[in-house]
Amino acid sequence: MSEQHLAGGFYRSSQRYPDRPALSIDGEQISYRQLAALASNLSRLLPEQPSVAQSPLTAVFGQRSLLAYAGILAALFAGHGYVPLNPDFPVARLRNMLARAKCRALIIDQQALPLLPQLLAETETPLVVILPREQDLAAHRQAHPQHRFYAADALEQEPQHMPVRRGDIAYLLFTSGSTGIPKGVMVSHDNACHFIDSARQRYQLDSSDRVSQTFALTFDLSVFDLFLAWQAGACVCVPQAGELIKPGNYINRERLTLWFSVPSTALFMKKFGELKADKYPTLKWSLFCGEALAEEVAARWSLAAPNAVLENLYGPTELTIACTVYRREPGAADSERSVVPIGEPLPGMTAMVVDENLRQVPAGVQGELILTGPQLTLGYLDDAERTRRAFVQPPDCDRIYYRTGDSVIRRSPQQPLEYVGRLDNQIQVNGHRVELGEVESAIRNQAQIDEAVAVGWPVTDTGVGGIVAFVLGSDIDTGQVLSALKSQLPGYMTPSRIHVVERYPLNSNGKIDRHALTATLKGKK
Amino acid sequence: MTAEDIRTFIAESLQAQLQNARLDNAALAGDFDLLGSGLIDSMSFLNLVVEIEDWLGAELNLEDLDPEQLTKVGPLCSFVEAQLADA
Repeated sequence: MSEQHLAGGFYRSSQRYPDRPALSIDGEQISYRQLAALASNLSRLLPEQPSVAQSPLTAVFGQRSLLAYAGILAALFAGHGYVPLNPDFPVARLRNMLARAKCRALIIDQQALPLLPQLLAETETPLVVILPREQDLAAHRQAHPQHRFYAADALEQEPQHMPVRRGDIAYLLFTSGSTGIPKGVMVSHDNACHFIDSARQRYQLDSSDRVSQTFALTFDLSVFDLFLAWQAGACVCVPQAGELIKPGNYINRERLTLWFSVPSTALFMKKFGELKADKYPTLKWSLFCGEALAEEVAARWSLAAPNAVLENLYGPTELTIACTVYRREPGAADSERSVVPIGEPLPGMTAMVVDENLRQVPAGVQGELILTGPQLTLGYLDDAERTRRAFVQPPDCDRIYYRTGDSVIRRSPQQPLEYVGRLDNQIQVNGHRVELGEVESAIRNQAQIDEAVAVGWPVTDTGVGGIVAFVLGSDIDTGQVLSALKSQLPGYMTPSRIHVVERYPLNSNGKIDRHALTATLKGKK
Repeated sequence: MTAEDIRTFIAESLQAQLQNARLDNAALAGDFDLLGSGLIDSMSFLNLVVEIEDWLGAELNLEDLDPEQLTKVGPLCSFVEAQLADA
């Protein structure tokens, strides 16, 4: 088996530690042997791709469930890439993703099952569909005779087989696109394995470690949780959705050794008194990624987890999970900074801070962060134009770099990279990347108007928690527009409110002043 | 500021979610659990708290509220009312 296979580490651990727990989920411990057997049996049902032109892809429709995890492994075992589909997203968006990825198989968990008829309603391409339970087979076979259905609880037990690799893509993730169409980022086995290998050397986990799994499977940070833990023979611990609001008890009950979440979760815990001194003695690593990490939140976390090293990671999906990291030394509160730096590139990655002509700027000057290296992904699915715009060759360079669109600064050559803000209208809502242009486009279409403005709101210590929109004109039924948007956009992209204004404030360049609009929200219902 | 004022604010803030769940404002009362009911997720709950703070112009200290009660409309509103009275 090739070393460069995302499931390779899991497979080796399943041979080496068959009886160790691979998952702690819903009060049960699932051993490597059990998980490998389920994944291996599921993988035999997945079709082989007739053409070698494109990597075969399997959709995994579900949320942090045993079947979703086994489904991811099954896809990889069969030589497919996986495409996670989140049941919280509107079905129309999911159908679009399924069709654009040209998936030929779908593995669905119990939670997502009620959405299956809607998802398949306009899906003509014959699919292999794996349901959780045999009892649901007959109804679905009758309703959708063009697809082949199987049940995960009625599989033949066969000897486990080794993962194979049939294409480059390990997973395909869709991110928000400014024109209103989500972009599919193609991440290769080589990309993902390079990152996991860097993380393996950095964190040195072993089979006694217990790793949190807080990220939705549509978030690439979940790849870190799963595959870093599994290559080490460690246990992936999955809190239930309700436990994520105050995960303190969960951390201690499960004796977690590695915590990884968006900073919003830490902010949340601080607010609810969950970051008291010495509360989490079992943690060895406290990792954050996905949005700005406020220094104050990091300091409080370090007091609560005194035995843990705290690191802030940074990285867009296009650069595979995370590509820079900053280690915050205990007690090293930096009064000059309100936000923890994003640090230095991971081994093998090269970063440059550049001006608008892609020429490197000196230390002390703010510029756009661009990166290259083995984690540079394959670009956007079937979108050469957007790939060409984002994956660029700077002058006097012979390598392709990804333009992050993030503004950063290095105060001096010895200082770490610091995140300053976005160069465009992209925001992070609780770690989810959102192009405000996509939200505005959806509002314009729904309300049949020429102009709509979306801003991030409310503002929190880690960024923004949601979106509020503004429109002109008095005859717009904002309630109806909001309701329609819900069926089009994921929850984190849907505005909580739409305010009707008489005119937009303009800045000195004559453009709509988003800051002034945001300021009007202060103290407003 | 009364618990009822706070409840009204929450209902207006969650107007879109209530509409989507086909609930009216009156549903947001007593032991109705904002999270447990699936009306909002944990991150939206944090946003709601931030919005309440912005509206009140005061930071809330929720450390002493029992986690079981935190996301229920009645206890949350009474707790916020009591904190404002103490301030």
